[in-house]
Amino acid sequence: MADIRMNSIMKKYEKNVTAVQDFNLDIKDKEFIVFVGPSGCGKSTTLRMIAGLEDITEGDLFIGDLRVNDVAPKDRDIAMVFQNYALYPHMNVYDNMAFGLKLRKFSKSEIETRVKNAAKILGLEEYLDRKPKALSGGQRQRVALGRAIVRDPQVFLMDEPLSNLDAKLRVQMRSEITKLHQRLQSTTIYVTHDQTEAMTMASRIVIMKDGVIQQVGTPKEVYDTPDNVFVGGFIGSPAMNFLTGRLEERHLVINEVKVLVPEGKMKVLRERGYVGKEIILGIRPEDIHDEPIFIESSQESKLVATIDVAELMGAETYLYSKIAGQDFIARVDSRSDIQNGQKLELAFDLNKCHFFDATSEERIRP
Amino acid sequence: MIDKIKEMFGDRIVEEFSDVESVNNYRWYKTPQDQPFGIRKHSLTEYEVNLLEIFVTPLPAYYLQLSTEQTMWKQLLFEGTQPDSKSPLKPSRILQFRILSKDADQELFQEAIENMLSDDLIFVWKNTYSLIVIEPFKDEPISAQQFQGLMQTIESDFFIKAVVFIGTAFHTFQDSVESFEKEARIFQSFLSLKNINQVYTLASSFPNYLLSQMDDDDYNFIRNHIFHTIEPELKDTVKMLLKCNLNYSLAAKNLFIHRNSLQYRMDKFTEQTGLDVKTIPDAVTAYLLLLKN
Repeated sequence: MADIRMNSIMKKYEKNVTAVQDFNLDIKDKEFIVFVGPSGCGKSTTLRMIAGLEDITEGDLFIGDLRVNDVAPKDRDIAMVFQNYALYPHMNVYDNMAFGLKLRKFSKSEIETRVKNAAKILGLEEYLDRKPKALSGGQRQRVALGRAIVRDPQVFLMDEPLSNLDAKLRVQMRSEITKLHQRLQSTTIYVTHDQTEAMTMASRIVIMKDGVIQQVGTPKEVYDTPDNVFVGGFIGSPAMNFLTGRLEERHLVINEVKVLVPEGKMKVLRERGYVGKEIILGIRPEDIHDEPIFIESSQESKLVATIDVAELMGAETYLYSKIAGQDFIARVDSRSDIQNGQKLELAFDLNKCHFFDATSEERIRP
Repeated sequence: MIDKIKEMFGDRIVEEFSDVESVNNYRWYKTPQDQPFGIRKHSLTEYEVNLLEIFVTPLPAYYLQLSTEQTMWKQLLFEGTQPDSKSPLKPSRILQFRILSKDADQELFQEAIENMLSDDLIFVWKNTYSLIVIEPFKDEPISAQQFQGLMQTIESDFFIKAVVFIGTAFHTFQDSVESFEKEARIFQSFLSLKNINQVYTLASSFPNYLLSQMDDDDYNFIRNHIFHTIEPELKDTVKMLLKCNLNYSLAAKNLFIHRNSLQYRMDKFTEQTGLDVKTIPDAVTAYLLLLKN
């Protein structure tokens, strides 16, 4: 297994189209790193540069102590699982898993040992003679993973491997991959556009937008302290609410609505010179409350909102409403029976809110 | 390396084995850059053979020893020789594979294709990186989407970039040659693209092919005129909307913006370009202008 170091990596296509720029990341041995971001953000391109399937325009890539920019993909000791994975339909499971080893001229006995070992890990022992069409979706996905595991590589690269599965199977395979990683203890880089996958699987998340890293951190770090509006809005479902307002001496004024800013946060904003300026308030849906006890103790962040839509999700309900013309979503306990069009008292937990610069959209820090 | 070898061996060297004569009478090798070449057997001394084999690799037998069917197809597609066979041709299609990386193991590549498709294929290697496969047509042929998955599997096995053009069905030898020639020309026009797709069909390649035939100056004139004042953010927005087949809710979700914000941006796009992508002609224009942009 190995560390991976990426120093100032850049990918440029012709006519100055930059797909990835100034990408710096140290991945420790055995880490499960997830690259996440919207379509076209450069996450798959970065993965393919690590694999060697895309040339690196600038910068250095190290796997272990070796600079691998010019090392052929097959010599990088990596294994890949792709988004639109497929199995060879005319080969049985054993041969599907063995094919990559055959290509690398492994002996028959070594191939047998590795395939049987991987089949045991993945619970595929009794399916080795079956053709792919006789397998369920989950079993096929396990074979696709098996094809990578048999190589016993230094690094696993996975590009949206679950995106073609239905929602139920995706959740199941998510935990299977996590368990597999815990068992194999292999350095893994996993690409997804699904923030839930990123949050549930990663040791660290790399959030990307327009070819640039926005933030690197543990799932908890990026959820609790997003570096900018994009990260705040991307991580978390439903997304963080953003309300733009003008900061006064003690309050944030969102059009005609005034909310009291806690003194700890106000001190930072004051010191950074934001009084009298526009800033963005970010608040997660779960930090907007409808419980009477909370509202009673939060009189200065209370508002009366007309609920446009109340979506019952089971244990919780999503409330869609507006404050001073700006949309927001609250996530409240489903014990509250709330109807569409109902007027309701809500209160913001401003101790948990985030403030961002209105121009740069960066987090305002002490 | 091939230029140096040509210098040394002069007219004794050929680079394409186009017929049975060239297969039998030439000794075939490939350079470390995967370029094949043959040298007339009787002109080579033992010393030259030993020397050559230090630097280049003999081409494997599968590559050279062609079955009657392979020879017939090779002659038909590359030499224009009509087959003597009077037996009717099974409806088929031609798959053109191109390996874009060095160091591919052609024999195993062929085995992989065989296991992707079926065992009644005819393989014709044009050179060490171009494989032509004649596939008898099936009731449920493998779709372009399925090919996408299979090409990714090959990529992860071989660690190479490879692309395929899925040809159209034909029923006669004459049709096969006509289709092949046209499809090969279209396929060739994409091979120099940086952002090449893995799978092309006649239908999916049409917009790109159309643009490749257009004069760059004319294209830039039209694009610059229509997109004269447009903000870059709007281009990304329209691209996403077109990618989502004009589904505003889905596009807004993928762009992480509210549906109303998307509507606002689209109004701005129409204001700045005069294009209303809700109409088919304007959507086609926007699509083509953004495809090459």
